[in-house]
Amino acid sequence: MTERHNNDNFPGYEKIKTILNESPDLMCRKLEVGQEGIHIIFMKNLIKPEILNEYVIKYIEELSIEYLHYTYLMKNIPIEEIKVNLEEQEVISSLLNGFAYIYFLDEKKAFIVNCANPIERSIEKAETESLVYGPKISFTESLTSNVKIIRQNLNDYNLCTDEIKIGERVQKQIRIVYIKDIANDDTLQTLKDRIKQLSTDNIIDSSVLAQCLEDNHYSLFPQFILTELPDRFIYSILNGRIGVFIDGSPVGIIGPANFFSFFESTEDIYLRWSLSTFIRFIRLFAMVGSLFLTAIYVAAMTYHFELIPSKLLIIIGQSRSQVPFPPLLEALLLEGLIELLREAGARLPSKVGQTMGIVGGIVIGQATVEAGLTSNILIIIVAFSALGAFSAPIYEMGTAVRIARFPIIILAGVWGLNGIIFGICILMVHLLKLTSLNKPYLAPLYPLRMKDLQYFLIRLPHHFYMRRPLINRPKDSIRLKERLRNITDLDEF
Amino acid sequence: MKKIVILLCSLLCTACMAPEKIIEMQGISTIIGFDLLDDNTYKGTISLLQFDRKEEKTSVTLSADGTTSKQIRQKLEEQTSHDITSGQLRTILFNKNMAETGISSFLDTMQRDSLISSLIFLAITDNAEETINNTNYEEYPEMGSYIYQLLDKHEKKEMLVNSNLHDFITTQYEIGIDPTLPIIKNANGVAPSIDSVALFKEDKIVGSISLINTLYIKLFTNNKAFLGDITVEIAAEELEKRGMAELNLPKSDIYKITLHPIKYKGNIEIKNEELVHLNATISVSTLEFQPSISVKNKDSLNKMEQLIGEALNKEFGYILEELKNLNTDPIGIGRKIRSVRKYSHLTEGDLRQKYSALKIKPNIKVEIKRTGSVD
Repeated sequence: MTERHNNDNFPGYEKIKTILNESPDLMCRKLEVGQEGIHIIFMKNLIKPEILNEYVIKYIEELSIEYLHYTYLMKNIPIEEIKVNLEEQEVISSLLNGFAYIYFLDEKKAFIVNCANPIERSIEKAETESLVYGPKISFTESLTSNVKIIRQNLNDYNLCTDEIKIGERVQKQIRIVYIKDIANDDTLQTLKDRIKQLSTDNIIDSSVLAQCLEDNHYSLFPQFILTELPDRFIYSILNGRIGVFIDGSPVGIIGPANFFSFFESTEDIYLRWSLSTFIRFIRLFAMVGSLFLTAIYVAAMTYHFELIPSKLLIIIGQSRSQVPFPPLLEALLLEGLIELLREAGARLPSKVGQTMGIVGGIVIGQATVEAGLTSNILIIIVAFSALGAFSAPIYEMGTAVRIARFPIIILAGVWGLNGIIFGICILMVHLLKLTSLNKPYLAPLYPLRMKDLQYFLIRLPHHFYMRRPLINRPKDSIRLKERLRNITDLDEF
Repeated sequence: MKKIVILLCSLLCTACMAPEKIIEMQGISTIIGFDLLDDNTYKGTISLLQFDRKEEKTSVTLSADGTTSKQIRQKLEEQTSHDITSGQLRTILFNKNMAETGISSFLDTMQRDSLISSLIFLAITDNAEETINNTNYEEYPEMGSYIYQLLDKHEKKEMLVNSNLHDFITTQYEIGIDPTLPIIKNANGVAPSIDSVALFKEDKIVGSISLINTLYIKLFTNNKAFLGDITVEIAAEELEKRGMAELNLPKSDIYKITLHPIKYKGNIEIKNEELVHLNATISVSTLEFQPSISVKNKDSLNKMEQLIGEALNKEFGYILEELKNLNTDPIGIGRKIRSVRKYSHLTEGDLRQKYSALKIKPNIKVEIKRTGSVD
C-alpha cells in the first residue's frame, strides 16, 4: 500500500456506469452519514455481501462524525486488502474482480476494498494423472489456492512466487514459482523475458501459455511439462526447475523439460527403486514400440519378408492373404480407426464411454478381421502401439508419439526399412536441435551427463540422489549435505 | 526453404528402392532341389510357401527342367501366379549323380545372389524331387521347413561338420581341406533323415562317412563341437591280457562301453614331410558298460583309458586309410602342412599327391573324468 495522493481524478458513479455499459449488476449504495456523502459502488454478483455489510457499511455507519473522512477510513477500515491512488482503468478492472469502490463525494477521493467472492472448485483428486501411491491432491482453477497448496507443502522462505500480469483485454495474473537459491538465474530470466514479451488479448489456459513460451513452435514435441499434481510440481522445483501458474487454470507449467522427463512420474519416487526402474524402461520401450512397430510391420510386409522368422511367416502370410489392401493402406486404416475410437471415447460422457470401448475394441476389431479388411497380427500391433502411446505419464507426450507415428508409417510404406531409418534420422536431428528454455532437450543423453542418467533413465535407491540433476544447472546442487558428509567420511575410512 | 528442398530431393531416393514385394503376392521358396537328368539337363524342384485367400494349404511344390538354374527358375515362374522369391530359401538339395559331376557352378550363382543368405544349408540326397515331394513329415507346413529344422538342429548341436553355403565354398576353395555335406535319406513312408556325411574332393562327391564317425573329423576341425556319445567295443581277451582279470568281470566275449565326451582338444602335429601326428585328448564320463562292471581302482581305470584310446585309434586308422584312398582331406591336414613356412609353396596338386603317400598316425588319448554319470 503506497500513499500518493496525486490523482484527484476519481470517477463517480455516473462515469463508471457509462464505462461499464450500464451493467445491471453495477450497484451503488449511497450513504448519508453526517455531512459526508459516501458512495459504495460494487458489482452485485461478484462480491460477498456479508463482507460488504459487516465490515464496510456497518463499520462506516457506526463511526462518529469526526472520523468520517477519507484519510481515517482508508487507514482503519477492517478489510485486509485495499487499494488507493487509482487509475481509472484499475478502478474498473478491480470492480470487475469483486472489489467495492468507496467514493467520498465532498472530498472527491476514493479507495477500493476487496470483497471478492470468487467461484472456486473444491480441491479434488487428480483426474488425468492418476497415481497408485502418493498424494492424490490436484491443482484447481484458483491461482490463490494453487499457490497455497505449494506453500503448504514447501515451507521454504526462499520459495518465490513472482507475479507478472499479461493480457491486453483480459488481464491475467501469472505466478512464476521457483526456489531462489536453487533455480538457475539465466533460465529464470529467459522465462520472465518470454512472458513479458507476450502481447496477447487473453491467455485462456496454462497450456496456451506453455505453447506461447515454447522454443520451437513447429515441433511435434512438447517443451514444457504440464501437470495437475502439486507433488510433481514441487519435486521439479526442488530439482531446480521453474514452475508457472496462470489464474484460472488447474494445470501448472514446469520448465525446462527434457525428453525423458516426460516419461517419469512422481510415482517412480514413491515406488521402490527396482519396480520404478523396470516401469521406466517399460515406458520407454512402449514409446519406441509405439513409434516404430506398425511401421516395421508395413515395411516387412511390403519389402522385406526375408526378415520375418520362418515360423512367424506362415502365420502372418495366412492372415495377410485375406486382406485386399496393400499393407500401408491397411495400417493407416487401422491406425485411423484407433485414433477415431480414442477421440470418440474422449468426447463422450463417461457412461457411454464404456460402451464405446466395447464397440470399438471388440466389435470393430473382431469384425474387421473376420471381414478380411485387416490381418489379426496388425490388430495386435496397432493395439500395442495405442497402449504404448498412452503409457507416457504426460498426456502431451503421448499425443506427440501418436502423431509422429503416421509419417513414419508412410515412410515405411514408401521406402521400407530405409524409410524408417530415414524417419529416425529426421526425428533424431530434430530432437537434438530442440531446446526447452534454451536447455538441450535430449539431455542427459546429449550432451552426455553420466551423473544425471540416474535421474532420468533409471531409478536407484534414494541415497544415490544426494545431488540435484546437473542439466537444470541448479545454483545449489547438493541436496543432502548431511548424508554426503557421512559417506565421504566412510570413503576416507 | 533449404530444408524443404533437401527433403524433396530425398524423394529421388525412391528410385533406389527395391521393387515392392508384398508378402501375399510372393511364392516364398524355402527349399530347392536339383536332379541331374541325362545330357546336362537338370530338373529343379521347389517348395513354395504361398498364401491364398481362403485356402488351408500353404505350400506348393513345382518342378521344371532346364540347363541352368536360372532357366529352371524361369520355367518354374511360368507355373505359378505368385512371384518366386528366394529371400527365405533355407536349403539347397543336390542329388548324388549331380554331386558326382560337381556342384560349384550352381553354388556360384547362389553365392552371388544377395537375396540368398550364405548361411543356407546344402545337402545331398538320392533324388531331390522325391525328397521334396515326400509328405511324411509332421507338424511342419512344408518340406522346406522340415528339412531346415532337421539340419538346423544338427548344426546347432554341432553334430555336422559344416553344411552351409559359406562353409562349403570356403573349404572348397581353400587349399588343403575338402568340404563335407550331410546326406539326406529319403525312404518311402518315413520322413527324410540325415543318413551320413558325404566326402568331397573339390566339388565332387567321392564317398561318405557315417554321422557318428564324423567325430574324428570334428576333433581336429572344430574345438567346440558336440562329439556325440562314443561307443567302444573291447574284446574280453584284451582285458585279460592287461591283467584286469582280477576284477572278476562277468563272462562275456565283448565289452561295450558308452562314453560321453566332456571336452576335447585336437591338434595336428607335423613331424616332417612324410609323417603327421593327429593328437587329441578327450575327457569323457562313462555312461554305460555292457555287461555292467565297476572300475574302481585308479590303476584299472588307467588301463581302461588306454584300452579305449587304442580302440579309438584303431578305428580312426581305418577311417584315415579310407580318406587317403579317396584322396579327400576333410580334416585339413593339407592346410596345416601348408601353414608351416617351409611347405607354404605347395600347390593343391602337390598336396593331393603328398596326401596319398602321407603317413598319418592317430594318437587319441582318453581320460575318464567321471564314472557312472547319467545322461
